[in-house]
Amino acid sequence: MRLSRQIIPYLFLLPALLLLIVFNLAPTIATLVESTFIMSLRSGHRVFAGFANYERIFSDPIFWKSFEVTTIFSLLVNPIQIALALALAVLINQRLPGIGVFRSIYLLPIAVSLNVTAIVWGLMLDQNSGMINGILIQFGLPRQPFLHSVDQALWSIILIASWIGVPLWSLFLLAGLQNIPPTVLEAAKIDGANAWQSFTKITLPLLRRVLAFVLVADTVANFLMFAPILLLTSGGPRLSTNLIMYETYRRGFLYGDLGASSAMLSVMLIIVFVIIGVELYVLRGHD
Amino acid sequence: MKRPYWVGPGLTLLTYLIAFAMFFPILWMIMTSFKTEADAFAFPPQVVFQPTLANWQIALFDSNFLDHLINTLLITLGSTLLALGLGIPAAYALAYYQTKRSDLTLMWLISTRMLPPVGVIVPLFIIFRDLGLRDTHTGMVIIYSAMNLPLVVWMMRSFFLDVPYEILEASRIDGTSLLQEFRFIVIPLVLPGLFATALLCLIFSWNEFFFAFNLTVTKAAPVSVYISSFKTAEGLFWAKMSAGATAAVFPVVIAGWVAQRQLVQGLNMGAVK
Repeated sequence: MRLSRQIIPYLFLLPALLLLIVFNLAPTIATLVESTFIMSLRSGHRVFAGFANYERIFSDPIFWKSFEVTTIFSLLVNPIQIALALALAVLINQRLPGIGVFRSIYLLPIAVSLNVTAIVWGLMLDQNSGMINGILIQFGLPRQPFLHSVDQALWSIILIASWIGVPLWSLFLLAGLQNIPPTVLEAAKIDGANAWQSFTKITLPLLRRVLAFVLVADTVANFLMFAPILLLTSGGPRLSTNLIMYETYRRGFLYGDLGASSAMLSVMLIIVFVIIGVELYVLRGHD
Repeated sequence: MKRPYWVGPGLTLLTYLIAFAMFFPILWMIMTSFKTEADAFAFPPQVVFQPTLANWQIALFDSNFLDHLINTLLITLGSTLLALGLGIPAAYALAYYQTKRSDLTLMWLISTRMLPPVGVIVPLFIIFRDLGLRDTHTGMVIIYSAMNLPLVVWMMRSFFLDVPYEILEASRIDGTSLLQEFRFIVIPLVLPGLFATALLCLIFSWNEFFFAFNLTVTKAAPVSVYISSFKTAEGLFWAKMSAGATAAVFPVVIAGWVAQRQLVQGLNMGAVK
């Protein structure tokens, strides 16, 4: 009996771990290994190449361009999404008439898949027959190319990503807001705090754990943004939306350069873990 | 401190404006699905038009849509059950039998969710080919379970941790077996959380696109892959694509709508603590 009590936790864990080892850990390791191999032109076989793939991508302007686009994208999209998500969560946490209906509506985009989102926004942003251009014309403004313009494509992707991202993350922040005991806020009110003071001095500090989670998860999700690029822009025009995730896919799948693709993925994995580490460190610093 | 009289109505108006702006793209897709392809392509976009059911007829019945819908249903339900079946015992072990290694195990489990799917797709493709899982329901059920498992373990563990230990202790003194303890004490207490977890699994599986796009061809291809196949000739089939897409999101939107209260309540139970 005592023995079985000791074995039970391992028996419970084993199937789950086994599934992840075979279908997640093993493929990941295979990718890391692949990044040190290169296809030999002479023999047509894979040969060990050490860091040759890494040297190749680090001296490749297209890789650096996609790195730059990804950095700009991340620096724009994460603050925008988190600020809007927080504002939205605060707004729908108010007791307003009909707020139940409103909550249902704003949750809708979360349930919409990325490829349907691409269709939805393809319809809205289409250069020739899109709804947004229809509205612009009504106000006497010129038509915009949106996804077909070097200057506007990345912003269009930010808009599309935020349409799903803002409601999704505000759902988590809403849950956090509802966990704050109303008595704390009432006490602050009695002590004469105004709405802004009680928000910055009480609500935000109490939300810190949820905010930390949202910040990390949002940053990683946006860093790995892929489907809208695949379905709407293919990285263009002129590489202006060529986020690093798509560049990896392009190299590996469309050009068959698995070595370079795997090397890029390995670099990305390191970056993801650095981002998570830094953000967790910064947010835990006050404890 | 009293709010000025206009703040209440102002906020109400603002919430409704935002709701409309967020909902409008979906509304527009639904409207487009009832247009002829010519109307869908017209500029300026037509808000008033002669509605037609032709696209729905083509997208739903004169095509393989229903086959793909059945694929999606099988894969979604199967993978959610498997992820829960494997994830709940694992979460239970991690919550109630803590050792030095359980935190590390948990960290690793969660980190698998952070890995980009593109990063594993080539080796996965080879594994699937060698095991004969390519373009099969079993293969998709397995890969979606692996995808959702970290979420299940992470959420269920935090729900289990919220169960007061005294209750478990009391029941153990009373001599309940592990199975009874699980069935009659733990599960009823975490039911809202379990419900929220299952719903998230269902939504994520239903909407997944990348694995399905690369690991299925036709036999097991879910709706998500099927819809994007309309996109062959650069927007020529906007109306049919809209009809298919509307039909594809309908079930999951309804499910989300019905269950949103439980979802927020479930998240409240401690998943994000």
